[in-house]
Amino acid sequence: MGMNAELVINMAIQFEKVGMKFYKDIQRHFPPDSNEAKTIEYLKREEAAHLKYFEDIYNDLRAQKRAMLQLSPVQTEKIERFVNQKFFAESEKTRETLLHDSNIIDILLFAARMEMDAINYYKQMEQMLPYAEKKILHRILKEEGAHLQVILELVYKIKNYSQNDLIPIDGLDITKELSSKAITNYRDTEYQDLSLLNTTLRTIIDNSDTDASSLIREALLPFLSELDPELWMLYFYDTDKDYCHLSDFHSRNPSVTFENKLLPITNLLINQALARKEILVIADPERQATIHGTWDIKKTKAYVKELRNIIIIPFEGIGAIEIINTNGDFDPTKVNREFTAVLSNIIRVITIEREGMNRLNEFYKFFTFSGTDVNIEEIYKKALSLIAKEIQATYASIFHLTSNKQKLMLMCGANFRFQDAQFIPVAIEKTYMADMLKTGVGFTSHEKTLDHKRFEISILERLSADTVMNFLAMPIMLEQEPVGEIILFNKNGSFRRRDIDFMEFMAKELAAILVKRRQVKQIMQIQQEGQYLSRYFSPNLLKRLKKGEIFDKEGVTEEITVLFADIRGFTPMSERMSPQEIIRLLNTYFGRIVNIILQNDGVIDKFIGDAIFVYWGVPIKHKNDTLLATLTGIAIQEEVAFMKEKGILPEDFHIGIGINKGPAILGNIGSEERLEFTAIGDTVNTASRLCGIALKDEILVAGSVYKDIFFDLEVAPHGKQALKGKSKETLVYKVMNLKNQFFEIYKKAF
Amino acid sequence: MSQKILVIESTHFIMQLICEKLKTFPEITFSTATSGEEALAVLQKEKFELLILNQNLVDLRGTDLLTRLDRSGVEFQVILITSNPERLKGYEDPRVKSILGFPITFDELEKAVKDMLKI
Repeated sequence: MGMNAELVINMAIQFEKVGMKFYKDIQRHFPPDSNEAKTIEYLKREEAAHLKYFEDIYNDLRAQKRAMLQLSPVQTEKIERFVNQKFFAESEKTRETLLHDSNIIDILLFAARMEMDAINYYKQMEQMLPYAEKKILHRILKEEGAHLQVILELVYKIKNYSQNDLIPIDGLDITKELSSKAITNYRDTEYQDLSLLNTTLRTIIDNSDTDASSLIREALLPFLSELDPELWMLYFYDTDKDYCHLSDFHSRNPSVTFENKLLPITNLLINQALARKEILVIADPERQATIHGTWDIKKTKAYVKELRNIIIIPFEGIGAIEIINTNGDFDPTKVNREFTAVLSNIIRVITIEREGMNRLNEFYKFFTFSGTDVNIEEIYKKALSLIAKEIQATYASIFHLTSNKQKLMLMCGANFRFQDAQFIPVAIEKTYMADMLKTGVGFTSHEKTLDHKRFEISILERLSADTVMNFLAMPIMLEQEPVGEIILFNKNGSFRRRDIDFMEFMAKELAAILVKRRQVKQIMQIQQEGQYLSRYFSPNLLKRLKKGEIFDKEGVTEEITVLFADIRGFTPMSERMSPQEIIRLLNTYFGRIVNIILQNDGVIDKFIGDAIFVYWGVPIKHKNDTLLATLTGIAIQEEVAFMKEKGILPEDFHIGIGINKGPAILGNIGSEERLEFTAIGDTVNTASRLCGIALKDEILVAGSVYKDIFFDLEVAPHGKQALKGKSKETLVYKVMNLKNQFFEIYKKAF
Repeated sequence: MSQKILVIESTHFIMQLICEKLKTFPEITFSTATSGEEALAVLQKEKFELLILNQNLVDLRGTDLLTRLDRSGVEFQVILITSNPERLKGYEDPRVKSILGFPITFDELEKAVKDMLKI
């Protein structure tokens, strides 16, 4: 499924609607004239304004008549369901807790978290959007960032109230003790939750070019005003460093205007300064004559009669400022001295911001990781390295519970040699994990209260050759069941509240990664089942193969017809579904199409991700294998359409099919007990490439196929296509329609 | 009076294929069900002489559907279709007179139907 801004805007609208609903739900639990109710009313209005803003953007986009992704009511309903599921179903428990033992701070923090989740989600979307669409997403991100800021400001304001100022939710029994606990937590000197949220917010704001522009502009202004140039222009690199755009400019002449467009850096004068990484001063007319071809100078000359002096100051990795004077020369020494000071200040600020951003990016990458190809030990190592950066701990490690929850096993450790101890499970009774199995919550312990006989402590001491003093353990909960623990030991001081909060956060995120992995594993299992299926030929073929009628054990070259079919946009589709839904969907899809292929005597060579590779012509030949393969493709497309019509498959489920005919090398790989035909060669590759370029619901075939099917099927030329890996362009055809009843043609083919 | 067949098949293509063949028999009428549950509902209301049943239905296995029909007292014969006849080796149900593996050919289907309905 392709992504465009309309889809994201639509999602944003759904998010806002869900947010409005949330505030409405919560508001009715407070007396109408309470400060809490008023606070929520305020947020509700904010949310309504955002909704209006997003709807305006959406309407604007529609008015532009761009290539629209039209969302049907069904799709909109699906998005709404997805939004509800993502942001609320998963947090149902949190919401329940909110309603039972919380006050307004908890609610605001929950709302802030939801905003942050939404922001993270948009950032994910951003990666999928083409460049032109990204800008629209930036508008959403900024708006959401501003809303998050409002919520956080409210939290900061309210947290200074005493507990008596805060009322519990109306009609629910809330003890002062709970309220007090909540306030104490928020009163801690360092508000980890808030600082994380705030850092994210800053990142969002700082991440945009405009803000970097204002930052640099602000630092430069005093000096620019002293220089008083005719014109200055500030350029920033695009994400693609071969381009930059004019972010800001100022001219004494008010009629000077420049459009903000993406410019190839090689066309700009600033390129010279950026390449040399030093301030460039161009004063002599001879030199100026060599630069007239550049975009910026051409533009400037339209307004300025004479260029007397040009200074370009590069900001490494960011962009450059170009200052042009017409009245007099700049003093290069002065410029150098003053600008060096300005520059170093800017670089320092930017570096700090970027470090913060990189740190967050590191977290972001880790949390959004859904690795299929990285082993669990790598993930744990990464988690421990992130923990090591955030918490002062001497040693850290991660343990797994065995599936029967009877034993604990060391999986990964940081800062010590753990190899010897790995994979030696110990009985659960002797561990701190046993306690956490009952409580489900983490704990810390000081030296005096530590039980040195517990496995976690004894192994830490053995491996680190140190005495464990301050200890922190946090269970990793998977669907409310502990599956392991992260433990930390610090010999230099006790753990703080923020450390515990952070570890809770990490354990939760680690669990989310494990859930994703479980999901991926389930999908892979299905695909493997598909592969298992692929070991089977149709019963008809199998019978003949077993009799030894048709089989050549040696590699042979045969003419075959190859069909590739794959699901379009499977990854985005799977992201919005639960593992159970994905499993059901794949089972249904593969189950049906395998039936069709086996019915049509196709040999399923293999499943490749969400694609299937089938061929005809070997080991037995039919009346017209190429026609049979194409009819199978049509039957598959029709089956998918039928399942969509019946609501069995989602509306945005589409497949593309590519078919090619030609010689391929076929071999019987494996043992006698496990026969496995495999076809390789250019014919196979071309079929795969045709499948790759087929749009959704299309069947594309090569010229060799066309010759065998045009009599029975309507086939339209689809032009010459440059297929990956092919030096010459390939003539491609698109299968359009049947020229006779399906089964009449079918009888001719089978 | 014509004999009645119920085709229970979740794959639309296979269903079309079977129906295509059944249309050529003037002696029979046929109905269709695309899932096990739908078939159960139809069988509660109507009597059929023959079921053409796919083992791999969207909601049930064909053999499980037959088990659920055990207690209903409904009488019929069955042609069971499967992608893996090997797996059904040793399966015994007196109602199942024929097990057809993919690909089902028109000739094979015709023979099985004619044998069972004696037409």
